[in-house]
Amino acid sequence: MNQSVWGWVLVPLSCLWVGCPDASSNGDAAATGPVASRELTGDRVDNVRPGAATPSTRAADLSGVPVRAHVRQGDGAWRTIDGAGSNDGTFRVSGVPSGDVVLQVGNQLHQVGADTLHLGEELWRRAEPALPTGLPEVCPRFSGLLPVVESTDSWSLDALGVDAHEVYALEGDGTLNNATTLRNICWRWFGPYVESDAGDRSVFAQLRRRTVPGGSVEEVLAMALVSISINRGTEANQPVAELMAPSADTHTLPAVPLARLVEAQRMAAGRGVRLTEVRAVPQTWETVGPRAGALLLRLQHNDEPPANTPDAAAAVPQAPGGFTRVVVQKAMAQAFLAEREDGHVVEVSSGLMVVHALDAPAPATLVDPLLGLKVGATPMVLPMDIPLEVDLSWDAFTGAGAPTAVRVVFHRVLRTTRRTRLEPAVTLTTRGNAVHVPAGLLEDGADYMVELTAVLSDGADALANPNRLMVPPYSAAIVWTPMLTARTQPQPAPPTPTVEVGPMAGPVEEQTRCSAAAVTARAGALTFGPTEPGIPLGMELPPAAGYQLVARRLAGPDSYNDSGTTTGNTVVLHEVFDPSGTAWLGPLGSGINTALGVAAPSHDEETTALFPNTADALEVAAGGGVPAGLWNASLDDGLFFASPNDTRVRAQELTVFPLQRRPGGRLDLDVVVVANALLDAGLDAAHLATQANTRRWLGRAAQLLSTGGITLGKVRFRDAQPWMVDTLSMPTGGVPGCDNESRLLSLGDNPDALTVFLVDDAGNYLGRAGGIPGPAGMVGLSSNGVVVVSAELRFADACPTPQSVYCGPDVIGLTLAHEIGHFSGLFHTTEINAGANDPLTDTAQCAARCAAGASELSPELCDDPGTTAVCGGGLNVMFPINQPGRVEWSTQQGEVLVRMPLLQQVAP
Amino acid sequence: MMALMLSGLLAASPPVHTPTPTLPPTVEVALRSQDTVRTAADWNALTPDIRQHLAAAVRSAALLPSARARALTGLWLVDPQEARTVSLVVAQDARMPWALRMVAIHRLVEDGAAHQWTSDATLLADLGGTTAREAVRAALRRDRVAGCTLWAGHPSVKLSITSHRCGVPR
Repeated sequence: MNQSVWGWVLVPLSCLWVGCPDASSNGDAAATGPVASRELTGDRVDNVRPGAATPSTRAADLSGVPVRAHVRQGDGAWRTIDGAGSNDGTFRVSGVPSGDVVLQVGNQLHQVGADTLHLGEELWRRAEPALPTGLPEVCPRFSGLLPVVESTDSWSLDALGVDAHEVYALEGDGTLNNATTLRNICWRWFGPYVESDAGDRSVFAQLRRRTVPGGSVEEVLAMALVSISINRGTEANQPVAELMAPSADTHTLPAVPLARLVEAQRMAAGRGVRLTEVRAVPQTWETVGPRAGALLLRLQHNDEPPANTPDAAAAVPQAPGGFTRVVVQKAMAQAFLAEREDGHVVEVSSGLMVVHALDAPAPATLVDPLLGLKVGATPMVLPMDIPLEVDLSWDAFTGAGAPTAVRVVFHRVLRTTRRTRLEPAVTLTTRGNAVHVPAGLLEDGADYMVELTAVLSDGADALANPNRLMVPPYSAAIVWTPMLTARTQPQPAPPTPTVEVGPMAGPVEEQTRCSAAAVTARAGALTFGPTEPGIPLGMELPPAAGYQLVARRLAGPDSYNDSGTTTGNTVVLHEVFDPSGTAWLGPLGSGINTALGVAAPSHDEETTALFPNTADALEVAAGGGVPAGLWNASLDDGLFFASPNDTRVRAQELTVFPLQRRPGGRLDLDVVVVANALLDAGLDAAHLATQANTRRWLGRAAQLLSTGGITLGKVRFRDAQPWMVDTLSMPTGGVPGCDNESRLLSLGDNPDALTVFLVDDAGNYLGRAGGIPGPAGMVGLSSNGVVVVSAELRFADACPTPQSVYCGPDVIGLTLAHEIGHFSGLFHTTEINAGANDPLTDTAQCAARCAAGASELSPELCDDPGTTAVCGGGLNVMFPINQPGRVEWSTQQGEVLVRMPLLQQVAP
Repeated sequence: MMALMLSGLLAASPPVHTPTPTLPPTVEVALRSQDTVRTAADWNALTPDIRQHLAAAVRSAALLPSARARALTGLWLVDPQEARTVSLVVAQDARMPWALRMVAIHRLVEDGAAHQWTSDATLLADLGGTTAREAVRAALRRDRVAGCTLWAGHPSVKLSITSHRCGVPR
């Protein structure tokens, strides 16, 4: 970082939008108000560069496009002065005072560093060729042609929302429908590509639009092609011409290579060259675990003779030259590895590929994702909301050289049923380290990601040519923020959890029991019993906002023989009646769903219920309240039902926590490090507590929980005893009635905090709560706490790039929030097989599987927000699939969350 | 030049979550399920060629280590023989994420066939280091006597539980 030039500058509020480097020229004006009038003029005329040929120009039609100047006045408010644009690409705004001015043309804004601005772009593409006049000319070998556009079924081109004219012909048998066998596709060279799918339908065509990125041809093509070699080692050394040959077998090719090849071809064509051959260097690819290899690309430049490279000739002596060798580095999903060779490297991380050309000065190290970003004067804690009219500033931009300008692009995050994409919504250019987005440009409730580009080299006036910053002589360093949500009423950022390191957790000697010798409950808990299976228990309960009931075994077998199978002897809380005789659980034989409450035992030693955690029970609570007085409960166990005549001594006890509603209440966590993989990486509790990864996953969990009414408070990291690590870092298996997960969960020892066990792997899940609900406020029980798989936290750079928007720590954060939801008494909005919905009425359901033929839910099919129709819930935190964008809790869910017994009142 | 390339390509590569291209969406989603325990029948219901997709997922660096580990666990459910083959490769490949390798080691030893698991455990223990430690740890979980025997043959392995379980302080 060059701090002397662009260092950690504190930004005075007066500089919030205008760059301080310019302040000497207009600072007085900002303080005293506009003093003179001027005219802003300019144009938007793009240069179209067809390869090496002379560029042509193309003027944008600005008639009807908003053109205005936003002028900051002495009191800090913003005034708008309208201007006008014309169809020759010029614009004009008159009567603009000197001082702080932002010029708006369409959705682009620019800090006015000059009175004349040229907003044209450099378009590095060839002019599109004239369309062929007839099908035979384009697809001469086709027969059995299928109609391209007229179909109305699900995969018709119209339904896919693409320009159908870009596909010329489909070749196949019969009528175009889902059962059609497609023999070939003839596509337009400059258009989108077509891919086939080997799913249960014989053919599925999907067209996509992709923009042609900047960069050299080789790098662009390497990016497009890298997945061929990574995913398809068998295709090594297979000429592209063979892969693409229009034959009857074309449609049987794997979708990805075909798509990638067509994409690469299209990209090449868009950059004035023909990609004529691709070869992977075969010996560098392995069936399992390839890390690096080389792609050989042979290009035919339209405007110049093909270049020969020594590398290409050496690597493929049988090839007559003309290859460019591009070294491909496949990074581990969470590592950001790089191998530099021959001037190029392709880095792959979580599906994002970045191509570097290394003949340039050392790259600006990808910078801290936050950059000291601030919204207004408040440091940005991500993820977070931003207001619709926002001041965004930053402290520093890492990189060599003096930035000429910084371009800030707010990309709108658009989700469709198939994928997520970004669309530039607002572009700003500034010389300083702050920008202002006027009202009216960001949409309420929309999600954005912000891209900041620091233009590092000097040269022509960057501010007068803000859209040519990406071409020589400029160079740039870029950073992306994670996703932000624009809101009319931004929710305050949650307090940052306090992180500390505590003593080791768990007993020194190995424990083989599933419940500790001593069970401890928080102050205020009421204990009833002991009792025996089948004998009702009376409980005099005080007025409260609800109750948590924990039934547990004091004596009796952990398991029993059920027809030759050893079965865990699960404690059952099967009947609970309030003073009026209304059933909150049970009654026996009627099915628990006929009662007001729901309890789902997941471990054998105890069962927990929380009233209210259903829509019916919440309605009672919101009406006359959960009744106080004499309640009755029946406790049983599996043995009671399997062998009613079994005479073995059993004793059970019921602990009741009267609940308070504590919106915004504080939840403390004990995080116990049980994962060997973390310890092998030196990440014991003390070190893990200081990791950037830790801040990120805790921050994400805190943000998610805060929207549900829970404030994440103190987080204490603790090492597990060595025997716990050796035996329980993978808490799977064990014996019936006392599995290893139960053993682990029983080792929490802080009744005032929720214990989170970070483990290596748990077999089949990312996280798991001890119960729905869990016995919050009690320790020593087999369902006390949550287990979270920590595989993503091993790497210091688990979020490898600033633009990583949903990486390992984010998965952990969402998992933690989700499991805390379970532990509080919330179920999945819809189970993954669509077989059951939660007992709430204001969470969207996805009950009908939402797509013919789908055996399970998918987020894309359940992402209809704000509805209780059949295909919603995908954005809810309690949706059963981990994915970005799950940020919502319903009102009823929030009512359950704020009753969690562990919540502590936060002082006003 | 580099920065120029970086800028252009970043602009063209939206930094958003994208499914692994070669996996059917149902499999990709299943690997991201939050806390649903899946059986062999659950996996097989997703697609007829589930085993090849799970094997591909284990190899895919585009997936998070936890998803790859889950794929490996699923492969052990639907095709133990193929799972053993893949696990042996993964367990011995130092370039794989350690969390994934650990799962491979434990699955080999804990879920392996009776006639194979001890030889697999010995093979892994002979690699030394943390690989040996995990092999011994997994063996102790499956069979105390066999685990202690393996531990005795690999004196470099230090585990807190061996002196207690095997009765021999080291």
